[in-house]
Amino acid sequence: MKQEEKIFELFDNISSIEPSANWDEMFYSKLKSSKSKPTFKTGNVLLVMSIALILVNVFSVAGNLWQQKNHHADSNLKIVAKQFLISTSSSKY
Amino acid sequence: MNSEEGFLEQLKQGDKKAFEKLFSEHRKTVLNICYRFFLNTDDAEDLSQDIFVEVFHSVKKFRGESKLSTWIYRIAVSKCLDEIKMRNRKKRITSLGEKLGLEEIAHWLTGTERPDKMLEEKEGYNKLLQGLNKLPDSQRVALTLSKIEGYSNTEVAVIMETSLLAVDSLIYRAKKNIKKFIEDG
Repeated sequence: MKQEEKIFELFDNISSIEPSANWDEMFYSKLKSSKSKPTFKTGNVLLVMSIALILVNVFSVAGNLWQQKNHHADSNLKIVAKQFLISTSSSKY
Repeated sequence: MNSEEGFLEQLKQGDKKAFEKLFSEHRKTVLNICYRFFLNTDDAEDLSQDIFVEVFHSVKKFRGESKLSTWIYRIAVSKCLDEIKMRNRKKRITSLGEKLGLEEIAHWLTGTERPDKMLEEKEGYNKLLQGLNKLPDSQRVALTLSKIEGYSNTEVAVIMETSLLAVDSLIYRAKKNIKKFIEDG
């Protein structure tokens, strides 16, 4: 018999195997640990919430900085206006 | 509601006894599908357990368009193919280690024997597995499933969602390709 026929016969003649004695035990152990892992869906939600929280913080800080900048600009404007008023009032007299 | 629909309903509601029945009915077939893909009992056991874990978590999404057994065997085939692809990727990464004999050293240090070393020593099985690994997925799946006890080519066609004619053709080409691989050495 040719070599390839012999080898192919191996495939044809592979006999079925039976589950081992501890198949059930191993399987139920895997099933139990798979239930305690967070599901993709739960993990996804946590990830989205974390990103949202970070973004909220970033925008909040940015908003504060913007407000401070505007407040500083306002203050400068008030000083300039005051000085202008003082100088114009002084010039009248 | 027929008996399979009723059984499916029980599974979707998480009925423990229904799951136990499902596992015991299909365990051997799934195990042997995996065995035919890998020719290794440890790998077959490991993967068959992973398959049933996925079945357990996915059953609620199953809409009953096919038989439950067909759906389970499709998951089995898909997981086997994924495992083969992953191993092929790992092989490319670890081939340098193998060339340096690192695997042998690791086994010597840990006192473990390579799985199925006796089988691997038999040139025939090694060649066979190499030939099977070279087949396109569709040919490999058709050939593997056709060798599962009690499975006709018609049932293989249902699992593969193709025609009987296509399955016959795939099996014919698979055998031809393996023989050619073995001839070419």
